[in-house]
Amino acid sequence: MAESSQHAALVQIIVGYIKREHATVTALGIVDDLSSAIGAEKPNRIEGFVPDVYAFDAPRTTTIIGEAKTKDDLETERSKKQIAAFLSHLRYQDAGVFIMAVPWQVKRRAQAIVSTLQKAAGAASVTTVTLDDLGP
Amino acid sequence: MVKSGVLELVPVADIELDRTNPRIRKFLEFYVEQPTSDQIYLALGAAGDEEGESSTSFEKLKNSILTNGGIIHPVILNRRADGTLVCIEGNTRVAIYKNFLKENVPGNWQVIPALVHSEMDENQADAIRLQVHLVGTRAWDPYSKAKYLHHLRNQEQLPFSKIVDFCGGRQKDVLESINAFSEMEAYYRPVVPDDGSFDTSRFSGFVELQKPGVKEAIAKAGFDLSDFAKWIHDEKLYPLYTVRWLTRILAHPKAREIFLKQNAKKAMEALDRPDLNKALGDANIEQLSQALSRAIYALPWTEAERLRKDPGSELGQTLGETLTALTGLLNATGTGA
Repeated sequence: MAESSQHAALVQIIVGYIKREHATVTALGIVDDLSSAIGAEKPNRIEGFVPDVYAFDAPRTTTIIGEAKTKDDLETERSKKQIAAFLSHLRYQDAGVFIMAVPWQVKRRAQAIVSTLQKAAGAASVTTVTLDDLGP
Repeated sequence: MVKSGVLELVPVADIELDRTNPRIRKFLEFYVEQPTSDQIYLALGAAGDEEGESSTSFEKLKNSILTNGGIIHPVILNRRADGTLVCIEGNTRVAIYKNFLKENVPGNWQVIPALVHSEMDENQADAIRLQVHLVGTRAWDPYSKAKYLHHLRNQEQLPFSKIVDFCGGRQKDVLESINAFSEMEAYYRPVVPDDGSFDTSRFSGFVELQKPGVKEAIAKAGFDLSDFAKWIHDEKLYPLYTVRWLTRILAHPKAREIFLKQNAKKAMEALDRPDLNKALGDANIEQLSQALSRAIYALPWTEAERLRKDPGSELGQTLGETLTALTGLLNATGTGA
């Protein structure tokens, strides 16, 4: 699978997971970065990085950030800064959730990276979830 | 004086779009021959409105019609002496119906509610266009819109997806608006001395508060949303767009001190800024724009790569601010794409 289509598939996994697992959050808006249409809604930029998925509700009780990473992209410095920025943002939200979707081969590595960055960001209150492309 | 028309359900296929429609005339002047319906549809999609978000508002209207299963306000047609019908007002809505028909979108798009006038002359057509587009209906202010959305969501318990669909599918806007309203009521109302002092025009400050980074900056600096509401009330954050500077102001000790003693505009002056030499300071916006474009085209790959890896850097933030200012200017002057 080409890297961009693999990335898009991982983003869809995150969106599907949010719809399934957070179905009880009635006013949850989910915005993703996949659409290239002019005027399409995009997630807000956080410390310069645009997450793949951003979901929140009104009144605000839940904030979810989803980020998809392919195998090659997972270990880059940019990815680490990006994840740290998202965790830091979620730290200040009520019920912040960070979801990472990666190919199954690197799931454990992704969990380790998120865990390290979570500690460094002092974001222990953030719930983290790691998904892979093998399905639920 | 314009006489009232007759309300009818008119077959969409019988309606001619107005090729002289002021909204799209500038686009259709490119065509030497009579433009086709598809070309008119394209022009309507591209044509701007006051918000300067042409494509966005066109899409919003399309989504809203789809959700409602039709239009709420009838279009206005003129039946000519030979019996043909031309659309005077509502060309975009008619074009959307025609497009839905062509693309077999499920729904009843065969007929459209219309006020049909008979043999209206050009002066009467102009009078209608002027009343609709130059005088127009009175739009609700942003606070009132948010209050209504909040009411629909929390009192009427209307499903969120329904509200978003009715608003043209912009879920982020709807959520930010409802959250801004809730927080203005929760934190701003208690700091004003009485209901008469509750200034709804401060609402946009609470909309800015919803942008990422602002609440974190307030919390990191040891303040809370009650403090924010006081700053809004005391006009420390005035004009209201200065809310978006809070992240930088509160992170900078000197700027923060000035902000707390004076206001955000004064505090911004204390932030680290590159020294602008005289030539730069004296350059006009056209010269600066040209220079910026050239600098971007000549940007070394290594620097572009550094920016890509760290968009939160000082350069990344400054470019982001420039982009916001530029987009605002282009939208406000109707020169944006």
